[in-house]
Amino acid sequence: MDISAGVMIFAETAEGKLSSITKELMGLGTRLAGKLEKGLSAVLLGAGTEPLATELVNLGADAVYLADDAFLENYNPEQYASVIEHVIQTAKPAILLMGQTSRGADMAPRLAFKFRGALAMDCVELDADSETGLLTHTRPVYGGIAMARARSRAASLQVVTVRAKSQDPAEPADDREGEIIAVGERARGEYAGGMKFLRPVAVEADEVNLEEANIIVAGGRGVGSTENFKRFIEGFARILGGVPGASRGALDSDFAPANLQIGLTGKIVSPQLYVAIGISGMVQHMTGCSSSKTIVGINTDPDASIFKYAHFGIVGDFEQVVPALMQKCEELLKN
Amino acid sequence: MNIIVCVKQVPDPEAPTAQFRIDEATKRLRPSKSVNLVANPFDMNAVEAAIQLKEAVGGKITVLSLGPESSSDVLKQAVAMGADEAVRIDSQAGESWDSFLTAHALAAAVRKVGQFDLILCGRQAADTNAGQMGVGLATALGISCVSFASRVEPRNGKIEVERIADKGREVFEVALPALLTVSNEMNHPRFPTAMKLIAAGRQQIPSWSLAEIGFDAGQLSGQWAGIEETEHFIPRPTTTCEFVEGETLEEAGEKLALRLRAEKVL
Repeated sequence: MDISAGVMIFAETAEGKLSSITKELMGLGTRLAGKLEKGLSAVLLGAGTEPLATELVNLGADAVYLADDAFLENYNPEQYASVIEHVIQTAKPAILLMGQTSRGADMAPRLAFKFRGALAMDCVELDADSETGLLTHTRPVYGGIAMARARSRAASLQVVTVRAKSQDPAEPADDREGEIIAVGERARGEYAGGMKFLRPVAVEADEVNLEEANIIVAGGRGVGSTENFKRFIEGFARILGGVPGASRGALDSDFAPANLQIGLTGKIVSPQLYVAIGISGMVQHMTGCSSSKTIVGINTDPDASIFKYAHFGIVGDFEQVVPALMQKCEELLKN
Repeated sequence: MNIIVCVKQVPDPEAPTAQFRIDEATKRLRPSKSVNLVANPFDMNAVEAAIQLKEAVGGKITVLSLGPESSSDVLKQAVAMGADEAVRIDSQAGESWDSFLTAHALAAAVRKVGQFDLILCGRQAADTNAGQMGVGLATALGISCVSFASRVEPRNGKIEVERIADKGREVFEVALPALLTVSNEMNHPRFPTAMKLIAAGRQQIPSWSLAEIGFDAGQLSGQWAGIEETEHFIPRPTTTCEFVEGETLEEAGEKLALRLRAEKVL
């Protein structure tokens, strides 16, 4: 398959594995490359990433551009950008798909501005016109109050970031073939830029994996205090075998650590059960959790928007509702 | 440290959703008249960060905004918070500014301001949600950029910056000049005192025309592929909420647990 004028994805890893967004990008990339009748490639950067290149081939990559190098162990955006720029100039993709992640959302504008391409961030739906190769995208605007449909104006280089959990992941198959192309010293070059990676920092609640959680109990501003957050949100999550989450309101009131934030500027989650306590259900929050299978809302305001999204709701003071709910759940889960 | 902060005026993102409608003629979201125009919240985190840096090491803060006359209100707010100077770059309402053109116009304005050490922008605007402009401005100026910054401290003529990673944070040392896009985790923007707001409100905010900053959109527009929006639409939740009630709220809580069990959610 012709890689040139095809689709390329930016592969990301987490704890030595391909991250779930990467599998989604491969699924989306396969579909778009099929429409264009062109090849699908992946660019994979990092240290010790070589074994994952085969996995990308199994997921459908016709070519994997692999930069496996100690200097890429940590994220220096300028060094990452220079390697990817080199790969883009070599492979000449028409479409570059990245995750709306910390790195993807950082890298996409750098590359799009550099190549003066078309750029759309945080897309939830994407399609390509098989005649023109131009992308159409759907993405949230105004904090998710509305969605915007747009199309690329030219097909020179179209860069998009894709929201987590918006695409069906690619399924691996062992019998697929693809080329693994080592991106060598030329891409590495001499780095003379002004940025130096110093260290990673773990933050409180870092061990909480919201994206993979089956059950989330989330608290908002209405929870009222850090003590209440600990007791009712974290406590209830523990009983259910789930994890705690928070809305921006709870963060701004300093009830909850930043890494628990769910919503437009936080994590995007879709658990089996999402319990929202003292959360009004503003669209900026709901955009991060509305694809949850079952949503439960507990709020004193019967007109709160959370009830437009919730499958089950209780109108009332959570301090009265939740202890009884917690106790009954604990009882039921024991049996 | 000389700091430039870029701010944008947006329809109040906290306004009730019902105040936003799709204009059938243009197929664009239109806020009703009751929705106030406010400073983009992330940009106020950027202004606050600038003030804290100035408090720590001294310097001067210049705030820029590209927008129509009404944008002066946002600049006045930044001045009331503690910015030294503010300039509005005059654009007309209804003009189509994508992030590429905006970044290049602001780059031209930054060059007119002259010497600077640091540029701060909010991580994304509450209206377009794009999150492209800051990184794009840094690219246009050819300076280093850290996006999603959650902490910044001056260090021996450089800065130490923490950014939000998917897990935890990443800390960088960055040589100046540089640009940061600031996330809400960085600080809580201060509320200016009424006295300062009144004083800033009386100020005339100077404005520069695009010609004055040497910016010609026509010259650039062919050089950038870009995207064109075709329409906005409002997604509607389709769920119906089953309200669980009881004699007391405690009873409602217990009943809810039983409903969840019956639905095999628990």
